[in-house]
Amino acid sequence: MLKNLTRRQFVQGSMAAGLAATAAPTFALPAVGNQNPPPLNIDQGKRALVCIMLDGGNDSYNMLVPHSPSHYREYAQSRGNLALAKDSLLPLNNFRDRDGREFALHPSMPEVAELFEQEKLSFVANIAPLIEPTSKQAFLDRSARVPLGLLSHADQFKHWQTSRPDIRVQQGWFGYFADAIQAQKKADQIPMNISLAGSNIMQNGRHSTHYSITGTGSVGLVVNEEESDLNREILRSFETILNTSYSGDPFKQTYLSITREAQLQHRKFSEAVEKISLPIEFSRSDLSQQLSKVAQCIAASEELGLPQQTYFLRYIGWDHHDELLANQARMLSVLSKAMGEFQQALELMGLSEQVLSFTGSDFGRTLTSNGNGSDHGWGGHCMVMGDAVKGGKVLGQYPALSLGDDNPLDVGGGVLIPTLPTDVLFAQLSMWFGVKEQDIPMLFPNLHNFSGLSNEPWPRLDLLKS
Amino acid sequence: MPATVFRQLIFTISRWGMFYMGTVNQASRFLMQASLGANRSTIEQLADMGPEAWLQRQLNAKAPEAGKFQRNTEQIWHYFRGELLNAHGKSALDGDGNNPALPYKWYFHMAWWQDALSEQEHLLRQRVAQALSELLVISDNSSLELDAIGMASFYDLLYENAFGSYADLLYAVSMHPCMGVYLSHMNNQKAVPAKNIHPDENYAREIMQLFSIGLFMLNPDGSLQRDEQGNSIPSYHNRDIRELARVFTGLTAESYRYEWSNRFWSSSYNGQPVGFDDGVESSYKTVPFVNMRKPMVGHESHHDRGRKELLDGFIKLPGGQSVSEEVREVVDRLVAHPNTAPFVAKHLIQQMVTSNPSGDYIAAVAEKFGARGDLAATIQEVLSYPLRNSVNDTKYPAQREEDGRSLQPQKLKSPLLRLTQILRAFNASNRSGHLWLIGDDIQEAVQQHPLSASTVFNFYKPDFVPQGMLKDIAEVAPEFEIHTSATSIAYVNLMYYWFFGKYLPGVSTEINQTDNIQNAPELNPDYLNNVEQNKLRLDFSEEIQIARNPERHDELIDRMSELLLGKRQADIKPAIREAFQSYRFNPEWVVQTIAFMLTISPEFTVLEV
Repeated sequence: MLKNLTRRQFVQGSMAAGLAATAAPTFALPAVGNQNPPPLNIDQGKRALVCIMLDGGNDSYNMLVPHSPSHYREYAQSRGNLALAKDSLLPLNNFRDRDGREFALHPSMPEVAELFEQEKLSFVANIAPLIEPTSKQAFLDRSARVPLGLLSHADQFKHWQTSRPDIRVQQGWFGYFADAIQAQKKADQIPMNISLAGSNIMQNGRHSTHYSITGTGSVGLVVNEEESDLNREILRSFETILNTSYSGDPFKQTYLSITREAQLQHRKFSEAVEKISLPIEFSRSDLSQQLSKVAQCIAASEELGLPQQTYFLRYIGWDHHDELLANQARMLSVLSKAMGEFQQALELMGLSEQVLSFTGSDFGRTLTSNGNGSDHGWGGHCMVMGDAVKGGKVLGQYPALSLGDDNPLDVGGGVLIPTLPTDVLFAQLSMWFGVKEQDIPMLFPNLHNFSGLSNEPWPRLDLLKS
Repeated sequence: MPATVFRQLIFTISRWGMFYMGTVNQASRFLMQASLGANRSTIEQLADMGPEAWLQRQLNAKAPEAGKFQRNTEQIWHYFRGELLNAHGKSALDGDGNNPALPYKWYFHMAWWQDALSEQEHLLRQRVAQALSELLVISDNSSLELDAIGMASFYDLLYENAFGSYADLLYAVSMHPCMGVYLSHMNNQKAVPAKNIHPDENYAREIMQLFSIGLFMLNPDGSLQRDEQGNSIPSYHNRDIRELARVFTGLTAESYRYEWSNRFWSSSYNGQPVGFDDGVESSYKTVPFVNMRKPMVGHESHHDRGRKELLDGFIKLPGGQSVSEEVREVVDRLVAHPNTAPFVAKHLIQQMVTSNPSGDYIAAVAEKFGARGDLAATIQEVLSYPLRNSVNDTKYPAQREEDGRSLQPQKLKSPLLRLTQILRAFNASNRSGHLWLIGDDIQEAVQQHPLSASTVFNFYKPDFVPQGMLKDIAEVAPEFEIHTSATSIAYVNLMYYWFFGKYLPGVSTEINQTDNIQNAPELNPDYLNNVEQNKLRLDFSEEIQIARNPERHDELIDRMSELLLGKRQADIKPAIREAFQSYRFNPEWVVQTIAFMLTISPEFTVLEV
């Protein structure tokens, strides 16, 4: 009987079987430690948020450098042998912060400099996960509540994804979006949170998870590629295993459900995405290739049934304790090129209004040198890019770069206390994405700790157009 | 023979048979924990002697001659250099460009796989070295890719100290140039306040966070200590890191060493000691220009010789000591810290037995670890405790009984261990005898390869929780961090290629065939697959023999289940039987189908203990 089915019918038939088999298992042990999900209200609209995590702790004080003479002098003195020569930097014209500070970019970032000039990109200065406003005194006498595992990669990388540096949770704010938007998601429906970096916390909700793809797309069964009697039988065998029930066995069920959903989603995903052609050729770097795939996915959003999407990318290797100058130059160049290409492609595809991209990184690094590099710090700078951005600005408060007693933010060796919590940036991005303003505090419960910094319930950045 | 005696004999034989079957399954599961994989004869041997005796024998076996991985890696590299010389002359080895004759990462991969697939004696040592490599992480996902021989010599440390003292191992690791490059304490020097230069803090942090005491104060059973408010208590603060960073100052590679002469390098530099102020540019004081096999050496003029105190006085160094003396003392103290025993115990248990060990289990292993880190006693307890006790306090409904013992799923086998188990179970071999797997194809598919993690945090983190049932019951499952929509299907594809397609992992003994030489070994899978003498083969001869008789197909499924699952009656047995009905008279296909279905089923990928 099987032989009379076409492959397509066959796959559809087995999808139905797959759906039946994903019905909730019957056993339940008491759940421990899970937070209640914020009941988010999110407006619908065509929107995509792209998070590029610079894994390892980008030395962002050498990415965005103060350029006005007195500020540069301070920079050069503190950074010692890590300081970039003033005339090598790319000046950012037409912007000056309220202290009269002018800025320049690392020489290997011409594309980003151009985006800044075109007002499609802004920087957010001295930002990091933060629980409450923290003074140097409160930090030193330990009266301030500070992020768990401060200065350690694993924890700070996690906090950027959760914006909950006060606790350790396995869910992130992108995940909560999906809990609300895809509350009724069926197994063959593709998750709105798409990862090019495999498992991550940011895109985990209480129930939702991410869809993992690679720079070349989603991974499908090779058995499917070639028609033969044997392959048909093998495919059937595979489907049988996928649909075997191991109720009461959390390991086997979890293993199967991930594999099963991947199999169900791949065909739909690749059919929608692979036919989208790109208007430009992206560079060969992994990051550029991954962003080219993101551009294709966004273009296919309608066919994928995903008007709202998030993307998570991870560019690894920024822990420049050693050989900082050469390695960071190489990697910033890859980053700058990739961001430039991505924005250009989105513009040519008419998608640039519906996409906001931002970078994050574990932490900033010490202003002082360890001889050949810099060590783990706290506050650092990030970028936000897209047509919706009021570009050409350095938002937040760019800190003084002096050391020791001269600097109210330096807690030693040029580790600077951040003056802006990630919550403030993420709240703004979330509202742009569609989250109702009144629901923001549920998403970022520490925001109210910062209400004293402005007349609003929480501080706002002048980041986005209207 | 009187009937009663006859009945008694039958009874005894069947009792013995049942017992034997039970022990074969148990032996098979035990070897999934204690080795990189086992074939039928190893399993039967263990079933005969019992796991305790096997453990004793493994732990007491005379260690192989020192330097095995380094030696093998070097030989393989020399072989390829020789081939390059033959094919392209001396210009292929010398020159200013990107020289293909560097000891690139593949040569260690090749040596690792040769050992992983051919070793028949030191199975436990082999497995423990692999488990330690996911704790004391260095990676060729860094500039270390340029020195496979250095990496191999690092792996030798793990292999040779696998049953030794953790304190000795951690000292040797701390002084190894590969760790010095990977976590950047090589060429680190004491503070120069006038220039705002402070010592590099990288290694000071990670030796505490990842290699010894961890982030938080632990009870002996591995649970977190809590303060009055119920908060976890950090085991160290940044000031401790700064203090410890001063210890790891003044270390450089032992000497310069570069593998050929060219415009910027004369062979006379080789063997010269490396000095901080020797006039050589700092970018030449690291891989690939220095000796990456010998321990780093100290330069007291660049070592901070002041007194140091950290961890609230738990470590006190009087000052005036050499860097190696201080590192030794620091390592001994860190290993003796009450956190380290439960920290390392938990890592090894999670690697080998269960993702969610009970407090009693961790405490029992930690006690054996002791203040010096007795790894032989630790490993023995990690593997023998489960023979007497349950290992996880949470009971899943799927718990089952076998010979009066309770069993339940404990962890997802890492993809690497699945692959080594399959290759060893079916005696993967080739005609040339060179089991020089490149490893890239494996890594590409499953995102895992020895000494190739993306960061010092290993391929997966010990507290990872996947979505779904495990999250609902608050159990961790580290290996799921690399089981995604991409890798889960890629693994199935790999099994399809292995059992039905033409492709087993690529083995290379030939130099690159393309004109523009980027690397010495040929890496193109299509080319490699046509080199008959190197092609990897799985030995299914016995299975195919049985498969010729369709009446024995049930027996065949059981037999292969025993080997791969440690369980004679697979839940998916009816599905397997069904799967090959239409071609049941093709014995090869029958065997391939059984292997394929078993290896992609969760009964194989999930370890039961």
